[in-house]
Amino acid sequence: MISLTNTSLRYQGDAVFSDVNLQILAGEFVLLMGATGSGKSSLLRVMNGLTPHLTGGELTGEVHVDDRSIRNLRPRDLAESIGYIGQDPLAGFVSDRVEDELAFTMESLGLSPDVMRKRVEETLDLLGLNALRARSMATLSAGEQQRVAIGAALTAHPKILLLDEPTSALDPTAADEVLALLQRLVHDVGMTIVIAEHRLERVVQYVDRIIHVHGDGHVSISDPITALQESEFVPPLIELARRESWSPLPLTIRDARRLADALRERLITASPPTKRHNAFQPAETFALCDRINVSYGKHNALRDVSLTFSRGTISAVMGRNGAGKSTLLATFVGLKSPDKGALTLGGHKPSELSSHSLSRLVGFVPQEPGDLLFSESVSAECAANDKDRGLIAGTTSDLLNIITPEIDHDLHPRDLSEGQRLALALAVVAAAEPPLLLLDEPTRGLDYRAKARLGTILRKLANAGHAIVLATHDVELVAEIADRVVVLAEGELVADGETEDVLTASPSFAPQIQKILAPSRFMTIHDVINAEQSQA
Amino acid sequence: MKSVALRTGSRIHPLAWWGWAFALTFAASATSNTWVLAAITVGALVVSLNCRSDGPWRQSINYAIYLAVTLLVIRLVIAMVFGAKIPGHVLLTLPSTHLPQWLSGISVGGPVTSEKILLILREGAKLATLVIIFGAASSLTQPKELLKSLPRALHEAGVIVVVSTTFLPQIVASIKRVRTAQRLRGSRGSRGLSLTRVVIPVIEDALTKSLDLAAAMESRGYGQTQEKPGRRLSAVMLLVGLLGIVAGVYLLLIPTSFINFPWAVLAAAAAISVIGLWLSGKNLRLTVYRPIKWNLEAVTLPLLGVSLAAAAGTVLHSTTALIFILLLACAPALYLGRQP
Repeated sequence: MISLTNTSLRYQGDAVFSDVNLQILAGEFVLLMGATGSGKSSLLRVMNGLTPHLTGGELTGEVHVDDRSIRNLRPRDLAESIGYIGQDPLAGFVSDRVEDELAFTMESLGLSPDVMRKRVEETLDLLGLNALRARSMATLSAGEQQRVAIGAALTAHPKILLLDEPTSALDPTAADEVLALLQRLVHDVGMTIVIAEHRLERVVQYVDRIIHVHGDGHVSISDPITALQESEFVPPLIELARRESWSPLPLTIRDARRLADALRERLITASPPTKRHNAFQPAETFALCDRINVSYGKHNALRDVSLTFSRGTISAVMGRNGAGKSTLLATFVGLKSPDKGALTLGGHKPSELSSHSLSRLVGFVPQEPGDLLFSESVSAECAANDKDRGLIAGTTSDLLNIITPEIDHDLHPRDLSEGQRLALALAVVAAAEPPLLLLDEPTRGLDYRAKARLGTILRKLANAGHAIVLATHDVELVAEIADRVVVLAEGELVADGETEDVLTASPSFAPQIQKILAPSRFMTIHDVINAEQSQA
Repeated sequence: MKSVALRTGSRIHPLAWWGWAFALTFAASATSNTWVLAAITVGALVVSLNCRSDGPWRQSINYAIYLAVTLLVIRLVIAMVFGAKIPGHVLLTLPSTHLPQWLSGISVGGPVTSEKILLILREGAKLATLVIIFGAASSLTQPKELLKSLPRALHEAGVIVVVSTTFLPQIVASIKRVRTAQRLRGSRGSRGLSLTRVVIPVIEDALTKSLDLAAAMESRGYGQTQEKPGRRLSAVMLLVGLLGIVAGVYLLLIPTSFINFPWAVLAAAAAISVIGLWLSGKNLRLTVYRPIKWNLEAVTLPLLGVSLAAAAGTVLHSTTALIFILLLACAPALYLGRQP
């Protein structure tokens, strides 16, 4: 269906990938994996001509889609054969109403109104969107937006769908819905699907083959088992299976459980996973809120929420999209004041502080780290931060060197990788040593290595006495680093406890290792390694 | 966030509403009778409040009312303070000052008579009525549906408007987000400095978003059917036609001796424009999803408007006639019923 022959992409002389040869067959579900910045998105966009048409760069070799060369075709000429869904579906929407959005592609292609009406109705049914047909786009949840974006591409009746990180902004349940939908398109409709994704733990079980973008220009395609045996980026399930030399490599929890009997038996006698203890003593409470209510107009975003955050602990705030996670963070940084209830930061009320003194108490790393950055280079950014906050010159860049030693201080912040940009934003915020550090969805677009890095950094900061709060959907990251988990639903606090207790009790939030090893309560591969070492 | 369900069923063609509003405008500007103006205003209000569409634009009648009242009040205040004196029953006397010799034409303050207030209100009534009619028409139609019913040649302009109305709120949200983030960074210093701190990330974000949008539109086939031969010819014809219309209007308003056939120029230019529009529309293979059809109700609306204008212009202004005009003005509301 798609074939690349000796395809190379160079961008200003630098090869992104070279001499790629691969065939994707009709009806295949293919995953594109690779480190952040390895060229996954570029390769995906080569398949419908967006690269080089829209992004520039020099493409050599042949790309055939549906048996025709796309050398002289524009992406718009391929709209009937390939649908493309970008990383941020909201940014790609043209209309404000679901139904009109679904029709936009067909209007551009000049289909007759009868055909359009029929296809819109079919698509609404296929994707279960009928209840949303008259809704305005801005009121949809992230999962619904993703489904509408898929629907909008489907109405042109393409044979191929390309998706760039379709689940990175979604909570585990919404992500499962989107992936189940894609699987149905492959199985029932015969669609060919290529998706680029970092969260392999969500995807590998569904795909037929994996394209591995190695980042050094080399690209390979193979079946999932071979690809995952060799890859350095694997989900916890595969990491455990490789460590235990399970064969064949299990891709689903079910297969892994069947192979895990021996391991489970071994671990029964092992001491239960050591509880993470607060390395920062005494664990003093820094921030607390007592039965706060926060509302936007008539909508109650938070209801009777009481929480405390103490120095030295990493807390994770989890919950569905729209459960009130961001509102909770916004309230702690003083952006929203509670209608009812009390909130204090080290004894002060955030609403009564000037923004300068507030920034000494609480630091906030937004979802888009770029929102914080405005300078021409990393070093200028650090210098400006020292000056702003009245720090000794060099404080920020010293901290940055501790966080990521290899970062190039002459680069423009926009040219950094996602992980490096996050590290820079974190350094800028943490340099003033605010006791409370809040991070909103820090792992979007990060690969496993960058996430492990982030975990180490956050632990260091916690040990230095920061109270760290992260709002996230990333179960595996939470299992790895959080001391405590808070779950919000519909603006109410539904669970608050040690990571282990909260995660193991929930089917959708349980990490992979725990699912395999249940009923024992090991959550990460490190727990397993530690237990075995203490046994020996 | 409030969930806004935008209604689509049983829609009236937006041009029908605008036709009705245009007829009302004509009636309002042709008459000098305050009672007729009042009847038209009441009609526009009743129809708008009963039949207005869903969505944010339904509020436009409220803004029109504020605007009309504000205009009347401003006129009243200015005329009371600076206006010419009109003899009659004195209501109140404002303190007056004597202006220097060279401003002797203008008087400040002095007695305010009830006759004067009535005169000002009657003068202002026409403007207020026009504002209300315009507000009513906007609240009754959805701008996007109006764009849908434009000629195909204007499709591109329509898409630009639609895209920017969805894109602008995103930029506003981005400005808010970045300001928050920068404030929490503890940025202090001069205002100019903090402005660049907000502007640079916002522009970067806007550029990224517009590239995403471009990629999305491109891969969804936008513009696939547009670059057909004849496009340039139609563009030239449109340009020539528009220039011709401008020239024709100029000639009509400011007669010159060497070209004394302005109407011919206008007609020719209009014809060229229409052909140009038709040509460029012909080259577009674009379609409209669920187009709004002209139904019986829609056709009746402009006719109701025209009969109102005729009645307001010809009928003697007795009480019965006024009631008839009022009924005609409210007719669409009675006829279409209350919309859900």
